[in-house]
Amino acid sequence: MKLMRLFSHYVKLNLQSAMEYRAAFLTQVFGMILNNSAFIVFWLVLFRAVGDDIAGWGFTAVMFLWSITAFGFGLASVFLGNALYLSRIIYTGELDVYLLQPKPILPNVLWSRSIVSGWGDAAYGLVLFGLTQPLSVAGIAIFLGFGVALALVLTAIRVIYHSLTFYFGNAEDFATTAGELVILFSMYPGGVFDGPTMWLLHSVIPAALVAFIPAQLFASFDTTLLLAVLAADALIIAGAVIVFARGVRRYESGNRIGARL
Amino acid sequence: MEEVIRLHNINKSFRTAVRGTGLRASVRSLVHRETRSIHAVRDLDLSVDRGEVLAFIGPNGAGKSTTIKLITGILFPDSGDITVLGLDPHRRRRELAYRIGTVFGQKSQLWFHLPPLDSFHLLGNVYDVPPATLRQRIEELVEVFEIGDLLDQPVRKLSLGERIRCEMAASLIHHPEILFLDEPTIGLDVVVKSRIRDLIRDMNRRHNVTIFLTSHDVGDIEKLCKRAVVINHGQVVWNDTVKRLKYSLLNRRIIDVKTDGPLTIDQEGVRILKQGEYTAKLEVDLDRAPIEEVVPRLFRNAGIQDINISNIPTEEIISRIYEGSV
Amino acid sequence: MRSRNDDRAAAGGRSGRPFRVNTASGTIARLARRYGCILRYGARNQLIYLRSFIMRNFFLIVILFVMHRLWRVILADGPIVGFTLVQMLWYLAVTEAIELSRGRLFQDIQDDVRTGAVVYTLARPYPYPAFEFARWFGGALVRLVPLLAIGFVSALALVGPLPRFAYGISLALPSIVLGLAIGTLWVLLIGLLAFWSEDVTPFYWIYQKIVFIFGGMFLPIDYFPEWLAAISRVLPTAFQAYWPARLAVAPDAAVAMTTYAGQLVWIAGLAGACALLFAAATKRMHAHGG
Repeated sequence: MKLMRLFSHYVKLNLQSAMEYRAAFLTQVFGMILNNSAFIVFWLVLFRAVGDDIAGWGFTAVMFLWSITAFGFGLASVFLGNALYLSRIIYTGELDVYLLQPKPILPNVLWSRSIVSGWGDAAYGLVLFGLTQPLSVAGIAIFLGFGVALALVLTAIRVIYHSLTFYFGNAEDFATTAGELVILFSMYPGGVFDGPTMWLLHSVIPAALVAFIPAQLFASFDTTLLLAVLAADALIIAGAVIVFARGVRRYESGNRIGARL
Repeated sequence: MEEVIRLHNINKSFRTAVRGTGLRASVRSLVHRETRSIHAVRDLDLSVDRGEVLAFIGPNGAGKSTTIKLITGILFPDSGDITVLGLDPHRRRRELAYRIGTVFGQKSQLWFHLPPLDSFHLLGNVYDVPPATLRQRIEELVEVFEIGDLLDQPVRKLSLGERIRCEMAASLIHHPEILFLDEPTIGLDVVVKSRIRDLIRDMNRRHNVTIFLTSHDVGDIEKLCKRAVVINHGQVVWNDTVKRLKYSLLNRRIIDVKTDGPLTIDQEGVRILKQGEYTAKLEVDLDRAPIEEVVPRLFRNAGIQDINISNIPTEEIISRIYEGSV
Repeated sequence: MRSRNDDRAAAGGRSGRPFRVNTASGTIARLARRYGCILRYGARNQLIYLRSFIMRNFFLIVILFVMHRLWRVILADGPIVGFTLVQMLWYLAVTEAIELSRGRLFQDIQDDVRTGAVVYTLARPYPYPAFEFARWFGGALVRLVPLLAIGFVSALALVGPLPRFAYGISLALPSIVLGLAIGTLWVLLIGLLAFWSEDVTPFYWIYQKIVFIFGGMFLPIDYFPEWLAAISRVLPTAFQAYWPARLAVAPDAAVAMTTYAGQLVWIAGLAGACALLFAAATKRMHAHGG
């Protein structure tokens, strides 16, 4: 309860902070819409030229991938935005501030920064979903639920990779890349990947878990598959919590002492 | 006296990457990272009583920040016992956090783009201060720190002094029993400095807040603290009253002068450290030779072109402690 | 979801800015030496950005890999509109290499305008836009070489050798360089808008997406409906990515000649536009007292 109050306080404060720079906010949202739209044109033209079937995926199914990825990515940016900066927070010693506060560290860190362009992504995902997908109550529930799941799993992946900074020194580039790969793979028809690639997409770059399988469930629901994917999601999130907590024990707080000698 | 901080036999070392310069070294560091271990704190013992104002001093890299971070639960010690307010800081970090406050110069608690008032409300939430109590507390702090006019301006528009005052107010929102201050007056002008000192003293007297202060500023130490602990290379090298430190070292000033010709001065309490044909460096013992007597005498005795009076730097205080001249 | 290219390609150096060439007259030899020097300086600056260098090249590999999986399925039953799978992959290697090597010179200009540093460049013995162009074009060329090499190796590993590779590359290489020049000029042009607009980044995004679609970056123009393809082929964006890449995979001497010619025309046009825009900007600066 107390944590939820803190969460909503952070959301409010981040919005206020964004409104200090209204022009930048609008620019970012606009740029993101432009970017996403360019890709939609790409898929539109491609499907028109090659027929509506690429490895069992049609235009509508690919648009589901795009809408859920945009929506979930947007949620992660808006509400858990600090995950992207975790390496920097660790190696600059900024984590001190959170360690000094009487709240669970990971939520406190993740909530405290919001990336404003995420609002645009989330809205875009919703609109795209509404425009391209058949609407039903169950369908909307799957979309929203897995949108949230995508945000959580993407953040968990970022936390795991950024936490490597605790152990090996600045892992920022590596972790950023890993997060981007999840998004990149999530936006192509899953059927084109096979073999070892598919294994990767179910584990270290879980694009299949966050996008392909939800798309499959959206097309034809299956309880077993639903439970399996939720269990896998939970595993990744638990992994992130553990890796981070163990990392904090090794935290060196900026290592500034070393730098000065 | 109730002991609020106790460190026993604390050790902490860091591993740092050894990095060469140039392209080849950066290529190599991508694959292989050489590290070496730095013993930041070794066998450190320290104890602080409730209501004390303690000066914790030492040169850069001596282990000051590491010690504070160990006490506040940011860092885990490699070995040894720490007890703060009866709690083990790293096992019961959150419980402890409700009861201590910190002002670290470089790491702000305030949101850069928002007015301090918004940050105060957030911190109230973070520390679970009930809304009514929070309102009252903010009013109090606004009055004490005279920050009423600053409350609704974005932090980025505040001056350093204004920011530090807000920063201190922020750290006191939850009525901490111990306040850790890391270089609170660094970069401030004289007027603001003495104002900040008054506020710190006031906190201590009125609310019996224990103050743990690190500073390079001799003025901070003299004006605020009763006891000083000096550390170097991660170990305590001096632990006594500021009064005694003052008698031996803090009551000295260094005077650098540029003159027209050779300088001669023969006065008790004035020692010539270095002398050139047109320059001299003097050390003045203020107890035996008040500065207001020495300076006029200098002007009478020689054609002074330029004069500069300064404190003995912390680094030198440390080295004198080592030499046993204290 | 802006990712990949946008920030990856951001590595353009700013350090060590002061750069002075002492000269009063402007003979052609001197000019060549002067800009050659700035170009070399931009090139050397690139090596400092080792990390972003590695990341940029890594992303090229991943993108080509994903594209291979996609097109492998689409072209399983043989070529559609003329491109085989082999040609498609090599085509994409070229367009992506050009795109990823371009850099974000507009940000430099925007910063200079914001900080007012641009005023001092007026006193230098060479025009500011030419300096910025030379510097960034130099950087782009350095980025291009490894990107092309890695793109080719990736394509080779994924789909095998490109028929008539040597011939194709020898025809394409000049036009790849010219295409990069067109791209750099566009970004310069966008940068110069900073004299009028607070933040030119949105313009850059629009430009980037236009290249993405009408330059045939991910999808050759031939896949467009015929009326759209006809328009797209003559736009400068096509001369920046589509035509050079097409020359590499479907070499043809006659097409090469028209490609070079078209590229030179657009370069002249864009350079002229930059000069005009900067002249207007200078006038504006004088009017506003800098």
